[in-house]
Amino acid sequence: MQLSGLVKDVAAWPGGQRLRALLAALALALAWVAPARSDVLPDDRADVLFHRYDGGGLVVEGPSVLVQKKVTEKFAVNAAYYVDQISSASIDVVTTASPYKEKRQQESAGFEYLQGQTTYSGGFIDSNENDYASKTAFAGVSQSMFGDLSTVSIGFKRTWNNVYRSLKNEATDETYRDPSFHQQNENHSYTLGLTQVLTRNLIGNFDFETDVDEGYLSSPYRQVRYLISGALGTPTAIIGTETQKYPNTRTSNAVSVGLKYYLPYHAAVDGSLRYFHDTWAIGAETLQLHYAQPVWQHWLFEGFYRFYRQNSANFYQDVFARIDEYNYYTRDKELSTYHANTLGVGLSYQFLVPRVRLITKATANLRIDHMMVQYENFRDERYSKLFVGGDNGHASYAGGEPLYVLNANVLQAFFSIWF
Amino acid sequence: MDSTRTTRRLKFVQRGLALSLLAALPALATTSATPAPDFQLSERGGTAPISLGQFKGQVVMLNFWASWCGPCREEMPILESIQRKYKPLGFTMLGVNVEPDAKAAEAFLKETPVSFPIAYDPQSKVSKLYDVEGMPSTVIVDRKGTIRFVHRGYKPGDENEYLNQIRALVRE
Amino acid sequence: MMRAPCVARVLFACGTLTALAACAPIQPWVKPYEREHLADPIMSLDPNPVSSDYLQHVFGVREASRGATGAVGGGCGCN
Repeated sequence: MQLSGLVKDVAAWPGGQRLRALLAALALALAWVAPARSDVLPDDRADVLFHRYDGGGLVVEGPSVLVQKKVTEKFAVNAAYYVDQISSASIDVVTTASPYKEKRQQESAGFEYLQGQTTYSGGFIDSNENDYASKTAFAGVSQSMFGDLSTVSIGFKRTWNNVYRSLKNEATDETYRDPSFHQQNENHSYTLGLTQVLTRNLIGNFDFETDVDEGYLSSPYRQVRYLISGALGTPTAIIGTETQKYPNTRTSNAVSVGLKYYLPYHAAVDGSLRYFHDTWAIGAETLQLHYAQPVWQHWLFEGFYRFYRQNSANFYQDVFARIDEYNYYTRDKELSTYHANTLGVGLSYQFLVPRVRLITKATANLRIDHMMVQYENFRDERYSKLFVGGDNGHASYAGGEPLYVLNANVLQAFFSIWF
Repeated sequence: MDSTRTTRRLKFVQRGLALSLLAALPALATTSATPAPDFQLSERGGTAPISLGQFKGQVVMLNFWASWCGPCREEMPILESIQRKYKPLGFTMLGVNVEPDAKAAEAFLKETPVSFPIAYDPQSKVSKLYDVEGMPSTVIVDRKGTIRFVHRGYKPGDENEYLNQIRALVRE
Repeated sequence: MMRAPCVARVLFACGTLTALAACAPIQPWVKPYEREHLADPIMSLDPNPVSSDYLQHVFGVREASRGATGAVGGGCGCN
C-alpha cells in the first residue's frame, strides 16, 4: 500500500523528471542486481572489407577496416576506418546538375569496459566529405542478468553536423566549399535494448530508439517542382523549381523485435520486424529474414531477404500545385512513398593460419545483395527532361512520367582474423 | 506539503530495501560444509562406471566442463598440470563432461589429452545434483567426502586459488 | 508542478531496487550446462559487425527511417 502511494506521488512529478528518475533507477538497479560472477569481452579480431554499391547511376565503393583488441582482461578498445568513394550520375544529379566524384572518410574509436556483469561502452565517430562534416559521440551500459539469460542495455548518442555546399569551378574542374553557405544540425538519440534467451534453441531481442533532430535538416542541392501553368502530364505543363525547405525539428521512434532459432543441423534462422514513426508523418515497416547453414567442411552459406516500405513525409510531393504551396516542401525521394525488396546471398570460408601463431581463426567472405525499389509517388524526371519524346516514343511530360524504379547491387568482400 | 508524505513513504521503502538486501544477498560464499553427493557415471575409455565414492580418502576436484565453453577449454591444460603435480599426494582431478553428445568432447580431448578420469553426464543428472550455476564449475571435495570449495567460471589467475586450496586440503 | 526533493528522488530509485532485488531469485530456465546450441557461433546475433554496419549504412542513407537496428551509425551527407 505504501508502494502504491509512492507510485502515485511519482506520477505527479513533471514528465521529464519522471523519465530521468526512472532511467536513473534502472541504471542503479542494473548495477545492483548483478551477482558477483564474471563475464568475458568478445574475442580480439580484425576485419578488412571492400564494399561496392552500384545502382541508379550511382557507384560508391571503398574499404572498411575494423580492429577490436583487449588491452586487459576487462578493457577492450576498437578503431575503424571507412571510405566511400562516390561517382554519382544518379537520377537526382543528372536531372538537376552534372555527374560528380566525391570522397567521404570516416574514422571511429571506442572502448568496452567490463565490470562483473556490466559492460560500459563508448566511442566517437568522425565523418568528413567536401560538403558535410559529422561528429558523433555515444555511450552505453549493458547488463547481463538472470543467470546470463537476459541482457538489458541503454545507450545515448549525440551527433553534431556541419552542412556545407560544394561548388564547381568550371574552368579548373575543381570543387570547393561555397563560403556563403554553412548550416548546422544536432541529433540526440536514446536506445533501450533487451536480449533474452527463451529456450535452449531460441533467442529473442527487442530494441527501442528515440531520435530528436534540431537545426538545418535539408540539403542545399535539392529542388522541388511546382506547376506554373498548364496541366500536369501534358505538353502544356510549365514547371518551375525552387530549393526545398524542411522543418527545423524532427522526432522519431523506432521499435523492433526479433527471434533467432537454432536448427538441429547446426544451422540458424532469424527474423525481425521493425516499426518506425516520426513527426513528419512518415511511417515505415521493415521485415528481415536470414538463414545460415554450414556446408561441406569449412564453408558457411547465408541467405537474406528484406522487405521495406515507407509512406511519404507530409510535406513531400512530386509536383506542387504552386510555388510555396505549404510552409515546407520537398521532392527528396528518400522521403517519398515506396517499397523495396532486397535479396542477398553470402558465402564464407573458415580456415586456420598455422604459420602465424597469433591468429586463432580466419574467414574469407563474399556477400552480394540485390535491391529492387519501386517508388510510388516519385516520378522519373529523366523521361520529361532528358529522353526526348519519352520512352519508346511514348510522350512523357512533367507530372506524367513513369514512377521511378531503382535496382542496385551491393557487393562485400572481406577477410576476418581472430587473435 | 506533499513532499513530507513522499519522504515518509520513501523512508519506509528504504527500510524494506535494507531488509530485502540482506535476504537477497547472493551466495557469494565459496565455502560450505555439506557432504558431496555420490553419483555413478560412465567413464571415458572405461567399461565400469565411475563413482565419487571410489575416491574417498583422496582430495577430489570435480570440474564440470563442455567443449563448447571457451573458458573450459582454456582451463584444461592447467587442470592437467595440477593433476600431475598433486596426484602422488593423494589427489585426483575428476572431469565431468556435460554434453549430451560425446563426439565434440572426444575431438577436443584428442587435441588436448589429459591423464585424469573424465566422466560423461549426458543427461545432466550430476549437474543438477551439484546445482551447477556456471560453466565451468569446480567443486573441491576433501578426504572425508565433504564439499569444501566451489568455483563458478574460470578466468586466468583462478588456478592460484585452486592451488592454495588443494595444498591446504592435501595436508589434512 | 513541484520539484521533488533530491533525497526523495534517490530514495525512489532505491525503492525500485527493492522491487528488482526481490525478482533476482528467478531461477534461470536454461541451465548453463544446457547452453550448447546458444554458444554455437552460428547463433551469434551479429557475427560480422563490419558487414552488418555497412549494410545498415546502405539502407539507412536511402530510407527515411532510422533507429532500433543495433548498429551505431555516424552521420553523413550521403544523398
